[in-house]
Amino acid sequence: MSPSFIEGDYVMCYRLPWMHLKIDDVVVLQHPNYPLMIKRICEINQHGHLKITGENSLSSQFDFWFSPSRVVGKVLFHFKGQSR
Amino acid sequence: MIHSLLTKLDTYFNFSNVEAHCDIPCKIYDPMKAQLAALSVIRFLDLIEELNQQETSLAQQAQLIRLINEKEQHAEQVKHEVRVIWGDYFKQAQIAQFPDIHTTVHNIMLSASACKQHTSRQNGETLLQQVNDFAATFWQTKQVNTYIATCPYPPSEKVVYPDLK
Repeated sequence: MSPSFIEGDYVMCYRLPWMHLKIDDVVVLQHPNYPLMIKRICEINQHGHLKITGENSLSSQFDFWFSPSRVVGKVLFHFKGQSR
Repeated sequence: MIHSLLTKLDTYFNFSNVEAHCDIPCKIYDPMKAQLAALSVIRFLDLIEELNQQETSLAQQAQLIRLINEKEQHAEQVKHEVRVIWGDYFKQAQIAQFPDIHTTVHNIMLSASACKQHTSRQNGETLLQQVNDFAATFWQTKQVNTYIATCPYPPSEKVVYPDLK
């Protein structure tokens, strides 16, 4: 993939206890089996759990629900690398 | 400048790393990168043509080499960005909706190569038009309306933008 975020970029994210997460938010989250990931929220269920992949998934390993507690922060600023 | 500052701070504070562009879809795609690269190709073609109308000094020869290198790189970037969206984002559902997408992408590949091989502005304009068409199709798959506007910087060409309001 070639997402908007590439190696060498910096992001600034924040997390407040009362922060409201919504679909299309880009978040940094702690995956149980992977390092910190940056992903976009595509679904939120009635329990407030988050899904970060959808109908275009190539892989099913990310295709499950995350507790909001795994969200380290919502991306506020994106600083692109100078090689662009 | 901000990035340079952050890089220095990073060496001191060792910021946490975040994985973003794995082979696991993050669903973050945007054809604007390809459109900007296509605009850059036209801009470099214009600057090359300006040099063509001047007497050639050593400094201008050096500038010509730089312009050609940049034209090559940005034409290649167009191909890369379009291939990625076509290969990773477009799935059976989108292909069924837009069956001409393969032809569109292949034509972009040919036009980008033509831009690398030649210095005709027409090739650049054709490339931008095709990438704009590709962008319009991409946004249609997301049910996002688009509009056409002249980019507010050289080469002042028409660009397809998503209407995200």
